[in-house]
Amino acid sequence: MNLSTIDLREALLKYWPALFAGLLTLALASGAVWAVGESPLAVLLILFNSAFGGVENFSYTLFYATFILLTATAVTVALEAGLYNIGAEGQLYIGALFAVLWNQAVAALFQQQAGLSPALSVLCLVGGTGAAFIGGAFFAALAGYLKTYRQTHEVLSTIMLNFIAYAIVNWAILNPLKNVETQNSETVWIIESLRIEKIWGQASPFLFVALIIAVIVLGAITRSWWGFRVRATGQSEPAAKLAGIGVKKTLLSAMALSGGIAGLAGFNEVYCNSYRLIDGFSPSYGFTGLTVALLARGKITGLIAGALLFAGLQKGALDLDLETEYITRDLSVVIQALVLVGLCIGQSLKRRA
Amino acid sequence: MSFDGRLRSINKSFGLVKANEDLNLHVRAGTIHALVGENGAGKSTAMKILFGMVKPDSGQVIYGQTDVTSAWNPHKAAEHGIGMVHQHFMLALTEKVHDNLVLGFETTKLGFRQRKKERKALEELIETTGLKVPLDARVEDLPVGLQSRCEILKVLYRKARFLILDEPTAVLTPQETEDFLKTLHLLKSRGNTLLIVTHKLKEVMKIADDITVMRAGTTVATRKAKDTDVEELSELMVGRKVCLPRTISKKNSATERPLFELKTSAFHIAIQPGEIVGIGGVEGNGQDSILEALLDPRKLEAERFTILKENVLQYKTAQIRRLPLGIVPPDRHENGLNLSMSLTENLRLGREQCGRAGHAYFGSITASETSLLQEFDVKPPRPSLAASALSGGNQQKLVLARELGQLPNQSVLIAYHPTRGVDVGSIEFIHEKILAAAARDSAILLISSELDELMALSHRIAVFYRGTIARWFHGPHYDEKDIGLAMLTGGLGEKKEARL
Repeated sequence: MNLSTIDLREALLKYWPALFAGLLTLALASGAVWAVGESPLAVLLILFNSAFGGVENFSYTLFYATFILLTATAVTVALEAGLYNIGAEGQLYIGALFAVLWNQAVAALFQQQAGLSPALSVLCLVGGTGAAFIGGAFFAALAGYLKTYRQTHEVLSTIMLNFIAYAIVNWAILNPLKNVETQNSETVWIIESLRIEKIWGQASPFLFVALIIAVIVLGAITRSWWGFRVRATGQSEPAAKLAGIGVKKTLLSAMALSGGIAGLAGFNEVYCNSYRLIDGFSPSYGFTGLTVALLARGKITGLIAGALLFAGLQKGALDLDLETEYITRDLSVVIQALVLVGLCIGQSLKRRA
Repeated sequence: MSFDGRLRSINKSFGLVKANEDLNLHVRAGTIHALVGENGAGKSTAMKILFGMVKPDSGQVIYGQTDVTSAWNPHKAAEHGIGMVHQHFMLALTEKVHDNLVLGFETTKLGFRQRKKERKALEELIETTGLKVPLDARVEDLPVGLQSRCEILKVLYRKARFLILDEPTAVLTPQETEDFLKTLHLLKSRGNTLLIVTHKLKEVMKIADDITVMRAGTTVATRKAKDTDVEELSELMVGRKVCLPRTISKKNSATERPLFELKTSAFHIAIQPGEIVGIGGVEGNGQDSILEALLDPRKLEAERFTILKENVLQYKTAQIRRLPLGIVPPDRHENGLNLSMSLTENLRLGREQCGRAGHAYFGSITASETSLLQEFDVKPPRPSLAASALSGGNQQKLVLARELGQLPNQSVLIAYHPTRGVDVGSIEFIHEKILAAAARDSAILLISSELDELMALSHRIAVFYRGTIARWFHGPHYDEKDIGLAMLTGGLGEKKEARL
């Protein structure tokens, strides 16, 4: 008899912050929706249906989730080393650029636009993944170098490097890589035999790669000596130094890995989605990834759930704009933000409980 | 007007851990009352309950005749004339002493600071209490002794009559401690009531009127200081007979090549296998330069630096840590421990794999780690607990478990204040560990502000003064006064004597 009451109490204590946050989020979002003159219930149904209702809709959510999971994993790596990588967005673009450059190299090397043998295609795709990774890693390592050897705070350098990345990619798209057949600012298309087809609606097989990377990287952080060095450095640099950990090397490696993973999101866009690099393709995947990483706090389940949630909101927000009278794209961003507020409150409650 | 302070049948648990159980304490008005007990005996919790920082699960907090248990908090306590000086100073380091003392109680007129009025009040306070501090200095520039004075003045400025002091002498040098004890006497003679929490029994015997001993969350006895002695108190604390720091017959070191040698323009230290060299001195006189040398020898302008016969002048920290070498740093919070990591992870800091690639799997808690925690009596010995959850003394034991627990024969140990903040029972154990390491032909450098400890353990003692070694003393018998004099003035007689 006594036992069950204790169980109930503990369960409540454990979950009530989440419950409270959920209800609060609902209330806040409903309030905003109601204020502009829409029915909260209808909007909620649209949101849910558009994100998770039916194959087509859900595959779109998975499509967004692939990007967000990659950038969130990227930011998590840096975060574990005590670094705020605000530059995942820029690293992703540089990754995409390197991915296209790799395609150009392959195209030049084989002097053909189609018809690589399957084995060679796979090899080239692996190379493309590597190129995107190296591009992002190199770009993040710049910030890492500035941090470790020049004492520039990584928040400043990564933010500013974003703009440099945008500019470089923009220039490359409009000049050497320009697709002359169109007015749009986009690069030439990649070789046909390198295009990875979607497997399920909009979802690409790269989703599995993203999942595997997330699992491996987070596993390495908690279970490898490298991860131990990263965490030790992130949590207390003086203690790490006393322990003989090469603090600079560790910070650089974490930052480079972070950028490399963000770069893979660029690969996903170029080889699995649009088969070219379109200027401004990312609806801030890098920053959404930052949000998810901060909420997930290094938990793999948190990363996956967060990626799905924010991907769903991304998808749902687009449809809200189309299907309701008063809710514009901007208001759906407001709703996303309110969800975030609710989650943050929930987490701070949980920490206090 | 003075008043009594009482705790009656206090119970308090944190989760499954019972911090206080049926605790009773009576601090008589106008006395110095000492609360002693081992690490984790529940002293801190008891004090926090008195000051309203922690709410008891049951029991009463009574000041004078008033039961203040319900809705008691630090703010109300301050209004009541109760002040608390925390073990870790709560000072804004980059601000001036003046501003620190009045912080939160500034004198203002129309929203503007009345610094002159404040200054007058502060000067009066300093005059009446005799606690001299430079009001215009920045706190960070002051030695720890003066910083602790600032903490007391801060509380007195808030008109406190009942002072709670948490381990006030933990970071003070012998001289500073001496001054500090005088201050406490003075405060008492002015009608204040003082409750000090400590485990330095010698000090307690010198100043306290009443002594309450705590063990395992509850008070086991209250004694008048004149009716008891250190032996009885330590027995009450530990629950068994203990041997206090004592001179143990030390083996004469053979004149071999030293295991540790550091020669700079300012000093020369060479330690033979099996030898314990003590470093004394008022804090901030250059003792820390040895740690800096270990952390980055390349920055040091040393003539010679060898550890275990290896020339380490061009080594990085990682290379140094690969040697069989234990380092107990002076500040466990700054770099001794990673407070947010678990006990196991803290034990692994500084292990060989830390600085080297090629060791992939980090692995789970091993049996040897668990037994290491038990051997060093780290409480609670739960390997997955975060280091920040341990009390100060237990954190120190954790550092020692890591640095001292796995040393092979013929290694080097550099230990700063190894027993700082550790209880009597554990001090004995730590001293034995250090002596055992010396018996296994290790070279030991012991840097401590506890003269008793230095004199009991060291073959030789070097006194640091203004960055150099002012004087060497040779054991086994030392003259406490001579060493004290050398610490304060640099000393007379044989200077910078070095032995190869």
